[in-house]
Amino acid sequence: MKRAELWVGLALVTAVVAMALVSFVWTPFDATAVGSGPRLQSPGLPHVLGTDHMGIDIFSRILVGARSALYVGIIAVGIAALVGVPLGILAAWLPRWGAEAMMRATDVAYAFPALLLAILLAAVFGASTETAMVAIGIATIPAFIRVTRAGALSVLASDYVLAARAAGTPAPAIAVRHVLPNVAHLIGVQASVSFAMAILAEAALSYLGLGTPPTVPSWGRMLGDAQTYLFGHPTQALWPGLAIAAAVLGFNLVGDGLRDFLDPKLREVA
Amino acid sequence: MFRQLLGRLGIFLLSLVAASFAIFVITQALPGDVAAVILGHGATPEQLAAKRAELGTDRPFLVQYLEWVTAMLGGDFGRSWFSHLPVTTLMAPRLGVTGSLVSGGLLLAVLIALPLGAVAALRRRQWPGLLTSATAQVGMAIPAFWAGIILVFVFGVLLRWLPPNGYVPLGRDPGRWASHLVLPVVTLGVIQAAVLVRYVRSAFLEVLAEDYYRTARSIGWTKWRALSRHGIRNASLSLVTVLGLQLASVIVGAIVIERVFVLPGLGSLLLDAVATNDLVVVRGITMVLVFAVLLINAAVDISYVLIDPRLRAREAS
Amino acid sequence: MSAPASNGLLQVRDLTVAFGRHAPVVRGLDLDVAPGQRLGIIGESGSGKTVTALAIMGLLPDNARVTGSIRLDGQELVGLSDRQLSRVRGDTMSMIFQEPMTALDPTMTAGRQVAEAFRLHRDRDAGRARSAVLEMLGAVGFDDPARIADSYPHQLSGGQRQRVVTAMALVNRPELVICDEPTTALDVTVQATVLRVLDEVLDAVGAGCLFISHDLAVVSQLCSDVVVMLDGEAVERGTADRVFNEPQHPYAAGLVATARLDLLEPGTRLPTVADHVRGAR
Repeated sequence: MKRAELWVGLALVTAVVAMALVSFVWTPFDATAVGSGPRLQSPGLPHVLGTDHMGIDIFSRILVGARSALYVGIIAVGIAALVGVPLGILAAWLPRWGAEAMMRATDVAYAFPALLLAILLAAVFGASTETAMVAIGIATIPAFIRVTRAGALSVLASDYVLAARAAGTPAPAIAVRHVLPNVAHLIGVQASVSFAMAILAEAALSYLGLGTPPTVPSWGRMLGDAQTYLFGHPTQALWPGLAIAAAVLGFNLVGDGLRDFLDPKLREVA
Repeated sequence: MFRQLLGRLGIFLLSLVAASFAIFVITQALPGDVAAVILGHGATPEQLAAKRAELGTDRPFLVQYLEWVTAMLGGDFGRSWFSHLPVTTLMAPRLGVTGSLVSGGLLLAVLIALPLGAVAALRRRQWPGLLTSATAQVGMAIPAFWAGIILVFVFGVLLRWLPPNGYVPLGRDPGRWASHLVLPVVTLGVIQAAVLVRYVRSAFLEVLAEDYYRTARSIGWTKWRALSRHGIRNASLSLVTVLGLQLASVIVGAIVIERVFVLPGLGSLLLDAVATNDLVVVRGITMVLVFAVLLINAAVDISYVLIDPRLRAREAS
Repeated sequence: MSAPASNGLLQVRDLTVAFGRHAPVVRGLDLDVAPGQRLGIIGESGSGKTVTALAIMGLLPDNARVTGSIRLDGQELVGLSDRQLSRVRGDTMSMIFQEPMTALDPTMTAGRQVAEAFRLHRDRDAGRARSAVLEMLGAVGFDDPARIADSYPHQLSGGQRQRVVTAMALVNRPELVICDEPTTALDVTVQATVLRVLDEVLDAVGAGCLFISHDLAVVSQLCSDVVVMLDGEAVERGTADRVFNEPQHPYAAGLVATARLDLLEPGTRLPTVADHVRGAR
């Protein structure tokens, strides 16, 4: 059952990655050239999923849209992990009051979800993919701090770290040699789940017109456009949504599957 | 007890200071010269200086921050750069829209997630539990605005049961007010419920593993009634925490949902202000939303004391 | 092994319990408890004694497969739904668990939890439940039942909690009380008090008892008859005196030897169960 979860997740993630990679070398039609085909075609041939209000092939745009989703996800999760993991390990090392202050700070940060921070930054710096992914990344830092700290605390309390300390191993060496490898799986799970959230946030921002610019195909913006033509051409609103849901579901399932796969303490309860 | 409450209040105030400072830094210091932003490229140095004096940006940053905070405490959120109306005047009529959307969505989410979470926990090996968990997993992956668009199509365009968008104030026509809010609230509530179900499930699973749950069954409660009688009380501690943490994402969800259904709430105001670079309005709304989140989370912490007699006792002594 | 009485209070026949696809943890177990009789089950952890108790109460997890027959007052319990079993549980049979520290709901007063048991089966009236609770709390040895009733579990000691749990199990004057190592988690001095109280209340109520323990000394204090379990099967049964004095099965002999350290010559090595079982298996 749990193994099935992981496999379904991996299949979905692989499909999304494959879509993005394929779109670099091949798309059925030009995904950005306005007016390259008839407008608002229903699904059929040669436009498998139809064309949008600008006459662009929707299937091609979905393929290229996978790039935007993954791009934002990678950068955002990268920022969050690069900042959050060291801070999390540091928080595990800090004396009680220091750790308490840091955790309280992450509590405050929870009041700024990715989308709100992105809107705030977009108001100041203007809407762009970069603003969006930096905002999502910053907003995701607290999650990495918490997960890393929780894992690091239990590693630091273990006998082998005690032995390493007794042998005089300096703190940074302990962090790199003992703590990091032992919390890597927790970070992996968090990265997968955060990736899913980043894709959702990016889609919402692009839908609001605050993310990926109009010239670059993105699933969220496609949905925004499709809503305008909902009355006559409802299927347009179907494909980008399915793509987002599949990608998010994939990364969530991989995260869950990894968690259960790496932590087999399945409890038997009545 | 009193000292504990005071401590929590102190943390709340500190968080508020930290959050407001962050918001002010982002909207006042990061953009560089606000006067230049407002006046655009063609402004003369004299015009800029006059504008800076008018906005007060020619003074030290900390002074500006303190003035902003003091004014807010007096109910003054500044004036819009765009319409020159007081920000409070702009926000006032919209608070109710966002408030009913958020509270309605949260309430619906809890009402859906509690029973489904119980099913997912108690029947987790049989198909009702597996189906519930799987549905929740899929629901979590669906963007709320897409769900909204689909609901608009089905109930607003295809079936014509409900208005696809727009808003009618409660005072003008309660019936039409409600009919305009049904789809937005359902969208927000159902998607949020998908997230909540997982938390409810794991909170209940923890209770099911507890000895007192077994004791409750041994004196003659059925599985379901033992869970509702002893489970909800004990799970409510972690559920209330989760609800507090979820509030921020519900509010953010409401911003997007307001756009989908063209509701005149704080979210639409915020997005309009972003579009016109109206940083005073952006700052004011962000502050109100963050204040609400921090306030509710402080209330959550305090409610622990009311739910758990162990904490109550610790504070009494 | 004597032929089991047919008109008993509890009659277990060929009880087999397995979890999921694993090998059964209880295999073909027969048990008989006559009205008012006290039967001890001894065995080491993992021998299947707790699973047997939970099977009788119908409190096993969903993935447990129970076959065979469990009759209480002639009523077959195997195969009953949770709802049907819940009418029996807490009424004609009840259970006292091992862990007093966690067996009570931390968010409710002790009195309210005892009252729940009463109101579920006897009388929904809160006032009459309250007086029944206070009476029962007095019966389990509390001098100030009202104060105990209004206390939350965290305000009570382990021994006090275990007596509250005992009161919960006995407030409805059940015919069968299953005790799963009720004193193991307690201090030795507290153990004695709780056992004495249990002994008295069981007598007062006239309840039969299935007493599960790994401790032969405790069982022999309370029970007239004993079943010795090993790896999910009953390997020896008889009166407590007989099993204690002339154990037949090597494993039972080992248990007795480790329990009778008073008979050891000074200077000899302490006996272990393994000394006796080796070669017998």
